[in-house]
Amino acid sequence: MLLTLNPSSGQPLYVQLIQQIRHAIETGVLRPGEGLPGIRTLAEQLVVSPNTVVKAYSELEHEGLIEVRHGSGAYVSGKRSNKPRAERLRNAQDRVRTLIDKLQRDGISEEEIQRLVDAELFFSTPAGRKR
Amino acid sequence: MLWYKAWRESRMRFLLSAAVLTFLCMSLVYGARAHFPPPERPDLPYSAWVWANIYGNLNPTLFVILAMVLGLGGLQRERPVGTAAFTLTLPITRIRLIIVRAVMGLLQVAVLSLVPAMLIPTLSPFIAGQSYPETQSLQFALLFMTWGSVAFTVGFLWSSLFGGEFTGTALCVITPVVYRILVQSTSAFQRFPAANYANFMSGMPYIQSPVKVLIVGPLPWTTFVVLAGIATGFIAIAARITKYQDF
Amino acid sequence: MSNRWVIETYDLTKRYGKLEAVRKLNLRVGASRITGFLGRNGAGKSSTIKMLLGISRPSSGSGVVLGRPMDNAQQSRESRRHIAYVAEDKQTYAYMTVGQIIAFTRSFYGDWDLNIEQRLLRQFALPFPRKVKALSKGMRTKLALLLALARRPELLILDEPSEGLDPVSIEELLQALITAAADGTTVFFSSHQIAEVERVADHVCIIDRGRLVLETSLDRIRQDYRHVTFGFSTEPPPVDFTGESVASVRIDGRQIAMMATRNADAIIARLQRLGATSVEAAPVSLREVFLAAVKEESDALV
Repeated sequence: MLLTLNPSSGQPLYVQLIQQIRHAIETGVLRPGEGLPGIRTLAEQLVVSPNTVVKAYSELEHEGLIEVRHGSGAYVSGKRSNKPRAERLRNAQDRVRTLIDKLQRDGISEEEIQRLVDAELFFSTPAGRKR
Repeated sequence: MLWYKAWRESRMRFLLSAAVLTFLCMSLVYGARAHFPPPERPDLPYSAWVWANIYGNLNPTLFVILAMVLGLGGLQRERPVGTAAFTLTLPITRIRLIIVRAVMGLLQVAVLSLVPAMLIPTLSPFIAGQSYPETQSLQFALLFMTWGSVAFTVGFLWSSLFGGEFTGTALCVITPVVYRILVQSTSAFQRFPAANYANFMSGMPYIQSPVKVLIVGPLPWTTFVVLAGIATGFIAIAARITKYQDF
Repeated sequence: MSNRWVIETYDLTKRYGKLEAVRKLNLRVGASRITGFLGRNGAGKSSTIKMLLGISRPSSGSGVVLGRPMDNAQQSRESRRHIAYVAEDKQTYAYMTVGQIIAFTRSFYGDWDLNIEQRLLRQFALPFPRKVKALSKGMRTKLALLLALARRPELLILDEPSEGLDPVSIEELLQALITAAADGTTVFFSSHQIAEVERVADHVCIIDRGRLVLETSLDRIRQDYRHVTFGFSTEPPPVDFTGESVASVRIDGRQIAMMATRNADAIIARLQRLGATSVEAAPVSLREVFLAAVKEESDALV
């Protein structure tokens, strides 16, 4: 499992971990029934506190995305179908690409686009931001 | 394995001291083979020769210095070396550290005081063609052992206060000399012949025959107990000092 | 994660002559966590750790480690059965070989695990017959870690563990800390390497001039702390930030910059109502939190 965590971004590490694993499941990179590294193994691999992995796995299990079995590790849940979400994400990616092209043609630089996006995300619901 | 640590940390000093004493004994017996009796004193008894070269003159002072140096080391010494924190975070009390090091040192002093007793009576007949009674050397060993233990515990006390190698060794050489001067010049000490270590260890108060220089009188068991008490007292003081020190 | 405190100090003070190295320190370190202990040189980190371990005695105040008072010799000895310590220079007896020092240390602990010892020996590739004095600093660190971890201690305390180590050794050290934490050991380590602490720690305690100036989780810093810069098209109105969770406010021309420690969105909303035309928000790194904490002992940081 290839993951990158950024300790200085504005997100708790466990949140980043949840998002990356969730993304991997929804885009089919991780398939139902496939095994995830154990808490200890993943913590050692990423060089992060085991509590981070515990929190992330706990939340993912709560969301029904994975199952944690004592002794044999964690597995991707076989429960949900991944296709609709993966498609929605691909569509969203296309839309973002189109918007960025348009803004760049209007003369807006990359950094400015980034700042506009960040500012907009801040003005969106606090609840959405905390996820 | 604290005993092993105490041994390793005092091993060099102990072996050097043992080597020095062995050298003295060997020089004596080989010297005797070469020129005993000395031409200017043809009827000098062998026991007097032994006394002069092993138990008398400067030898008590030498032994006292060696015993005192044996008392150095300990936690204050570990501080500049950097291992004090490691030793102190072991699940042991400081008292236990003190006791192990003290007992190891006292055993070493005992062994050192027995070196002449092991060598001279056994080697004299073979090498020098002379005989020396085992009982004599054992009695001298006892005198050396008891006062030597006091000297060891003084060195032990210095070690609880000073960690520098140079400071410690210098103190071990200066203390016996200063003490000797003090004893010889202060009248209060004259009442206790045992207070003068050179006097005591060379057996002067118990030697009846000045010619043969053999110990005849009863051994001063009370004095032995007093000396043991003083030695224990110094260890207790060192323990107390160490208990309240910051490292 | 349990709610037990493995370390608690109460107005802990240490004086060296006239100098107060530790001043009424009230430290709390939680169980089953990795806690970083940050502070400038001379802030009191080492003095605190020495008192926790019974190496030195407090001038006043008290502390409890693993539920036992730290200024009682017998109790402290009991605690040390379950505590492992790695000192800054990681020195052990120079005259012993690696094998001998392991046997020596093993003899004091009933809960020594030979399997862990063997595993770490192989992992760290420590040369059994080599004398400690011939070991490099990196190897001495690994040896110290082996001696600490081969018994699954409840609490592992390290004083500047990465001092003098090359990046590869630092990585190995951090992995060893994580393995220990995964086994349930509470890890408490002091460090100057803020980046490392930011990577592996769950919580951080910042000490300055002998006092605790901040104690918080890194998740909270990542989630709630924000640098916010407001731009105004006119002269910015005077804003009163007392009572808000705000630190280090700077005003320059038509801009106001600040570090919010909580409720950044509420502050943003407030300044927008006051006429701010541009808002830029960015996350705050642990380094910035540290620098702000030691520059001004501000209550707003808590």
